[in-house]
Amino acid sequence: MMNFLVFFLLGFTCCHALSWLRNRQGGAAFAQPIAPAVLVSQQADAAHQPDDLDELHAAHEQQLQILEAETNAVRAELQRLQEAHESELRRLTKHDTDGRQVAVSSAKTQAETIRHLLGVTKTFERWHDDMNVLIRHNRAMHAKNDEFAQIVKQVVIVALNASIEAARAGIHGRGFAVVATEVRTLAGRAEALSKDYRDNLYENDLITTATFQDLQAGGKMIVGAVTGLDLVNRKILGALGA
Amino acid sequence: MITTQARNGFRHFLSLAVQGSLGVSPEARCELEPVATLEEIRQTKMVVLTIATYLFRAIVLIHFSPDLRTSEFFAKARGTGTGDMTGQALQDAIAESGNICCGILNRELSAFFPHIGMSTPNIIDRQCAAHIAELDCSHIEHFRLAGEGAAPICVSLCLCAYAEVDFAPDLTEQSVNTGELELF
Repeated sequence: MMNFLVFFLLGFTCCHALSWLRNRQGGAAFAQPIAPAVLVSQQADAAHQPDDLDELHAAHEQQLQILEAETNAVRAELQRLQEAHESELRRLTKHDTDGRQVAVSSAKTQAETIRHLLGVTKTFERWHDDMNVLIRHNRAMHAKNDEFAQIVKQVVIVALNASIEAARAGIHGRGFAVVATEVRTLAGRAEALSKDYRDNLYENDLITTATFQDLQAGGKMIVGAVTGLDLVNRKILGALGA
Repeated sequence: MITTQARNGFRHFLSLAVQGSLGVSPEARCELEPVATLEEIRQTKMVVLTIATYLFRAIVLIHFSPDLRTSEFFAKARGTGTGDMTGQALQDAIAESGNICCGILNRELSAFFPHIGMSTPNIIDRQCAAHIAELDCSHIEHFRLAGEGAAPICVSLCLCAYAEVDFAPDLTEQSVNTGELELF
């Protein structure tokens, strides 16, 4: 807009100046007799034309000054905005760098924690070994109980034989018959106890196995979840270029 | 605490797992046939495996007898001689099949429960099953394997829930790919 105004004023001034020169030169080149009244008028006009030019020039100068002032103001505003923009850019860049450093640092710390967590598999291996010890121990108890049951069966047979021998001995074997009967009773109680004990061992086998397997499967579930976390963390580190 | 559709889902996934692991071959028909009570199961040993999440645990019992019929089946399935499939070798073969079975079940369940883990197998006496109530299960089902390619074994599925368990699987899915293989 300002440029348009400047060019308009310059054009206007130039047109006037050319017209004025033509009038002056025309007067010289084509000197013709002019009426005195017209001549007076032209002389008056000619006398005023330098004044008009001065005014135009002054106006033009004034416009130029205004434009220059406005341009300077705009330049100053632009400078201020550029500085503010650069300052904000520096702040954001610093913030971004700091944030990235924090993110990289956190992701690396997390990677270290995950690495330690994955060491939990050693705990599961330990449980597995303990479980095998328990199972071996249960098997040994089964074997001992089976042996005990065999002994009890033999005691029952021996007590039965003793009862038979006591009967053969007649009156002299009465006391022995009482002892034999008592031994049979004790053998019967021992047999019942052995069966009950064996039953408890089976129950123990099931509970031990189920509990251990729950720990083992749960452990694998945890390791799977941690491995998933590790994968995500590696992707984050990759995206951060660390 | 275990919804009906979740129970159907467990049953469906177990069916897929059994088809993919306990048949004489993956192509042979091997289906689950319900067994009303534990007392109907006569096998003498069982492989125990557990699948655990923080919401529930599923205990799978694979009942078997270390007899000639079982030896013959696993020898045929493995392409070995019956004489080689006895004692510890037979137990290892059944434990490995059970492991594959639970691997498939684990993989199918992981689509609904991303945080899930599976144990390694253990073999215990069948008489231990009499104390299954001690595990405080929310739901128990027993099955016999049926079909021309089925192993002479039974399977029990015991579910212990620690929160409401619900998921809606696609019951028409027939995938029987081998599950993850646990080393033991």
